[in-house]
Amino acid sequence: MRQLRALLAHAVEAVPHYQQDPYRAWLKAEPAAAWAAFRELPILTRKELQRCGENLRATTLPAYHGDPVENETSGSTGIPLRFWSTPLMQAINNAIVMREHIWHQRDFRLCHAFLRSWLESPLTSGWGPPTSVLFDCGEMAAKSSRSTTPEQQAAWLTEIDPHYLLTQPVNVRALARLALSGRLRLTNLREVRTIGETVTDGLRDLVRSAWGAEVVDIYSAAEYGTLALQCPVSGGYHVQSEAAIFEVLDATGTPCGAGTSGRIVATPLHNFATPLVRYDMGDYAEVAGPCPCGRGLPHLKRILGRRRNRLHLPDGTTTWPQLSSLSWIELAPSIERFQLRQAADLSLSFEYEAPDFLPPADCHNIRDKIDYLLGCRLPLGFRRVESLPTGQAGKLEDFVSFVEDEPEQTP
Amino acid sequence: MRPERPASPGQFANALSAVPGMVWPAVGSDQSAHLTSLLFQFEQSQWFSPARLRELQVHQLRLVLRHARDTVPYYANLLRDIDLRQLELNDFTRLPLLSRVELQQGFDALSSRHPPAVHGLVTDGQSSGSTGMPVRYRGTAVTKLFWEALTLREHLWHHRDFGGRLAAIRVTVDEGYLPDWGLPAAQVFRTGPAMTLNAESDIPVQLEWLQRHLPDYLITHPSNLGALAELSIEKGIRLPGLRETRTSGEIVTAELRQRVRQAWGVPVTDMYSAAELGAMAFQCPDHEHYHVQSENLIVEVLHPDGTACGPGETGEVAVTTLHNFAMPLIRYRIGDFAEVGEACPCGRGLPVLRRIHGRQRNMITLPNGQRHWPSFPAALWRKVAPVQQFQLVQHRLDEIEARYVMSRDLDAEELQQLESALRERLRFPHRIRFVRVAVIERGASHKFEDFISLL
Repeated sequence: MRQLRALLAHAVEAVPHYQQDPYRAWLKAEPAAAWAAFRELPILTRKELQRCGENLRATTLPAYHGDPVENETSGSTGIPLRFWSTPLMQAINNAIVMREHIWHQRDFRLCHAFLRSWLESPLTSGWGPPTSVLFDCGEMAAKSSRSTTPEQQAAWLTEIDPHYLLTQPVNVRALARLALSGRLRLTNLREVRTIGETVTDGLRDLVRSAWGAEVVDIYSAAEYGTLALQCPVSGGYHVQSEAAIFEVLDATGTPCGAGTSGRIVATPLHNFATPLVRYDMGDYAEVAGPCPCGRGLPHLKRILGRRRNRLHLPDGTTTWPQLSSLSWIELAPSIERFQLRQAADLSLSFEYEAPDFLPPADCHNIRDKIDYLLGCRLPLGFRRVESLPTGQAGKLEDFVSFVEDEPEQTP
Repeated sequence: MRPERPASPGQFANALSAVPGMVWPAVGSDQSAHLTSLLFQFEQSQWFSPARLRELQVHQLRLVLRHARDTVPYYANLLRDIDLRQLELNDFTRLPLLSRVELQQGFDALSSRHPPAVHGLVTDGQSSGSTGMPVRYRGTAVTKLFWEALTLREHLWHHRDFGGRLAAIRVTVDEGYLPDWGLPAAQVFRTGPAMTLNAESDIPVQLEWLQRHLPDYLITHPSNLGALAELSIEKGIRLPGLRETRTSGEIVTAELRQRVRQAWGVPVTDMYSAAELGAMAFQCPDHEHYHVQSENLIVEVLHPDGTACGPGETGEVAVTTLHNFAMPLIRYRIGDFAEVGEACPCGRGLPVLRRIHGRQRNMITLPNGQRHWPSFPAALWRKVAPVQQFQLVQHRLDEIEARYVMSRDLDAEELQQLESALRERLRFPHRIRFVRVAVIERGASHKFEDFISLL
């Protein structure tokens, strides 16, 4: 609460969007009533964040927060947006990254492989910052998961034979299946670390069957940084309360109790460049009871899955299209929201909200980028709509597949 | 299995932030960041097994010995023929001991010609020592950092509330009122105020000053604390709000702990340190014995033949600094004696010193050659007569001078009673010569010694 007060005092002073009554009034709330009053503050949606733009940007920053850094994301909800963070916020995030390592008692002297969208690095000494700044690390290697097939990834991993692997769940699933069919043997693997998508119990079982290793998941988002870490004891997630105020709300806006699910609304406490107060990013979580590990950090049973966000490829494989990795503001600045939909025949439809139809050049650019992202060409049409259909509580996903999904099983 | 760790009282919730708008978690100044980085490591290392701690000490020891061999004239020859890369503890314990006299006479030879620049400013200091023989020493910003970080560890171990009021009565300070606890606590935490008073002040003046300021914590010398407790008991004065008394610099006896508890209902927490070495051992948060600060130094307790003492055995303390690259002290006989303890039930792997006895000159030698550290509870004197202060000096094997401060001479009956009580405590029928004096001076180190052997 002390930090929230500091954040809002700054926001009311330096951020046009917050120079209005509910926020000013909250600062005057009696300490005893502050929590209740906080829950009355408006919820900021992605769409509002997009619309507010510069209005959410601080005109000044306190000393030592560093020069603001511009970020752009469409997240996974199809609303391209721009926001600013600070080196200080990055430092807090780095500290949480280190906490995660320490919670899971990783041996920094061992080899770590990273299969991420863009990262490429040959086998080299040190795990990279922040870890290698603090510890004497073993080797690391990185490969772009976006530009490689699972078979290529498997060949690369066999060569490295890492102790730790960090990648998106979609890659883990493909690799685990290769392992179970005898086409990927990893003798050292101790732990599979996942980020960026939802991890299901089926995936955890799959990894256990493939390598006898556990999945350790991280829940983070560009606008927030790292929000929740997997508990080393319960396997649930602990909210990183030092970095954000985290609410899970039901459809009526009431906080969810243990065993119930709702949308995640978070307030990052240290981003003074674009303060986000009660920001709804569009994700869902299930709240858990107190954690047996004894930590007081709020406990989540799971970050809810979005199976229907998987794209089906003609060869029968599936992938999560990383639409958020594209620079939408550059590609088509007039788009307010979009959704890529896949029909049962695998064809795609790019549906968007914009003041006018997209010019052919923009459509052409988008088409090229989507082909590149998917690694293949699927039939693609463009459709401007008045209003995109939103799911539960206004949630809009940037990709939805209507291909019937086979149930996930542990072979 | 490791016992349950104590719950943290969460002092870091009140850590000081150097960044505007960052209230929690705090992002401290550079100096604060160094301290908290060490504290973070100390939090883990205290729970390492003794074997793991020794292994890590040996890594650091090899580095400091290599530096000593290459840059410290005194060690160039001594360490020349030893393969320091392969050095193990067994090899280390065969290295020669360094006496206090050698340190006193060898300041230049023991100083590094090339202290690493990254270890920061090299500073010199002088400690007169309780024997009045001055010891010059040298340290760096790194040795200072370790001392400060360990001082903070000691605060954290004892769950101190940094928001409390701290009173310090010491020989090295003047009367004053400060807005915070000073370094290092105020570097990292938001603290309450501190007040200081010179320990040379009369005890009634000190007690009245304490009643006026009503501190949460009192830090002073054990002898001074004892006198304050006695006067409080005598006058029935309580110090409401006092939570803990802290001591350093002299020997703390079980009797002192008992009298302090009786006077104010609070514990005594003792620290064992020396100017030339830094923090050596702190009282365990759960027990009255001490944990060696193994991250900072190697403490050996040795029999006269140089072999290591086991639990329950008392020997001479030899200390090796692990981070002083300006003047590495290797197996330095500081002059104190200590009793080794068993592994601590608290679960910390840091070695245990059950008791710190003080110096050889505080030991009595009996005519049959036996030696021990005698104990004379003030209560023993006060039961007989209104003695304000006393000190015993052994001039000969069978003769003790008993100096005392009192408003009048002891009468014949009092003399007889005291003589008999003292003989019992000394374990020999010494001839006891009582001498009434106006004041008992402290030694050159300002430490008070209640027994001095001049043999």
